[in-house]
Amino acid sequence: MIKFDNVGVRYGVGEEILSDVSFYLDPGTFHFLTGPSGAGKTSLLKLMYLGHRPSRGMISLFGHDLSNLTRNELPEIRRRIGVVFQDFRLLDHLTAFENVALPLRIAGHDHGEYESDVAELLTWVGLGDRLHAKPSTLSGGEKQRVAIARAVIGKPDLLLADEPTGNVDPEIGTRIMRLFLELNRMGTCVVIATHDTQHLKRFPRQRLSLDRGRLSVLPPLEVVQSERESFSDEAEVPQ
Amino acid sequence: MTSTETRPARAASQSTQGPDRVQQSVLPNVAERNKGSMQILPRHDGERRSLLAVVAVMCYLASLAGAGVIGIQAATERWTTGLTSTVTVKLKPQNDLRSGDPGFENSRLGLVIEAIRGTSGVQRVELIDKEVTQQLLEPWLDPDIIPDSLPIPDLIDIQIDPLAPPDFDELESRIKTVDSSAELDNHMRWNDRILSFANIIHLVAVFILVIISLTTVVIVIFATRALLSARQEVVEVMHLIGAHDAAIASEFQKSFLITGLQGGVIGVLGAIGTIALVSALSGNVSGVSSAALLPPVQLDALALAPIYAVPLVAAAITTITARFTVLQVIKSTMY
Repeated sequence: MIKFDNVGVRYGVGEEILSDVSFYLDPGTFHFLTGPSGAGKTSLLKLMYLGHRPSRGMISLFGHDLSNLTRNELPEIRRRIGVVFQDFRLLDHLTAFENVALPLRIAGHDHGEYESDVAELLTWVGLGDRLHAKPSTLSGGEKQRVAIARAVIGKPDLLLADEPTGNVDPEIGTRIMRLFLELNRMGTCVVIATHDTQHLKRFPRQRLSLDRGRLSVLPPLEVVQSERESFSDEAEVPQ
Repeated sequence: MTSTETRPARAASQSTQGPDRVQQSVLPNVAERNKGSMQILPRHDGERRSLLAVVAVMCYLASLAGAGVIGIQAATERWTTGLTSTVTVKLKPQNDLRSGDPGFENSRLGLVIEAIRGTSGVQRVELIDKEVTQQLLEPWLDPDIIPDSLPIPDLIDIQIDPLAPPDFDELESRIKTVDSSAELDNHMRWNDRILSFANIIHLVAVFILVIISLTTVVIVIFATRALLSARQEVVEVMHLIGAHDAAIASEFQKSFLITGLQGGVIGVLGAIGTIALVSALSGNVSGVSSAALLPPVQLDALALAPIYAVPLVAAAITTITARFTVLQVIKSTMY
């Protein structure tokens, strides 16, 4: 699915932001990407959503060695990836509905093909009454939900999310995590960059931990009994 | 993906936690309000107005330069046709009998005219009236101060067959046998000068057209880059969610195509108005132009037909330039 082999990233002539990053993610797996601020999480995600070219090393996505793909072939790869950007990156002149529909529109689908799906998804994330609202009129949490809906509407094979629950209240955050888990159950490989230890414990999954540009793969965060009891409403914590 | 395959939406709606089930009443509303094409690029009225003004001015100048070329070409054709289809015989003035006087046929002028008529390739011979000849001097000499005693040469205008012109040497020798002072002017000196002048004007106009076109290209490049910079967020998002470079470029192209067409139409209309105004004003001074050596430049709607293509050329320039600029910028700045 995703294979990084000794990947390094350097901006300009500075030090490497990521050094010798190597890992392999199977299809349909769920991972958290953790690490302190400045550790390189966003840079790693950028490499994964083809927003940046590595300075060295080899990246393979969906069985394609990226270095062998022509520029014209990259958009097809990008369409298989859903991204929730940390700063949302919603287009201010489009409505929530249009923002969510954008990936489908760019992929060449007609309005009639996706209108009910887009409305349904936005309604599910709690924005059924804000379909025609412009991002400037949405709260931070609402923008985030629109961004998430845009990332998942195209049924991506890989979902990348940078702090997707950072601006929403716990209830909405939990609902969003459940949406990601549902996607994951249906075969999407999910990678979520987060600082939220509550989510790491509530939804224990393998962690990709970055520290000063170096990556290590860690097992799910352990949950103590008292915490387990507080998550009693959740079925995700192994008993 | 079709609506029946959208996994996240279905997954979401099937989840037991989904609080806001889709109400059927929402969907027709969605269909109604979002129908039609989504404008992916935001409107950019401010930048567009500036570019529209520049394109209109460029098209106005290009149209005027084009009209100049067309006018000069048409006038040159008329002038040279007139010059090459006539020759003039000049004779020293004497107190000759004039056409219609008794015994004119046996006078010097009558014999010269007879000699000319007998030459093959000559279609018409006309002795210019003294009054007409005198009028030719009026632009330079006030008629009130031209004395009657001023010797004004006799002029004979000869219409020749342009396809089978006479042998000018033979014609001149035949005239000189009657009057050795006679001179034959076949206007080639004027013809060559007019052609040279017209060629220079033509080259200058073409040069101006090239400069205007290149300037327009440069302006459109700057405008496109400015627009790209202002819309970088949109371009990046489109790029990252899988838009091909060409698809992004075509979003910009549409806008520049419309701007080029509109600017072109405005410029051409302005130029046609200017040409009409100049024609009207030159009509008011027709007395001067008709007295000048060269006939006035005339442009009609049909002759100006090539200018009507200026909006199409402007649209092509703006569209193609915008496309290549967008492609070049995206390729150089985005993975």
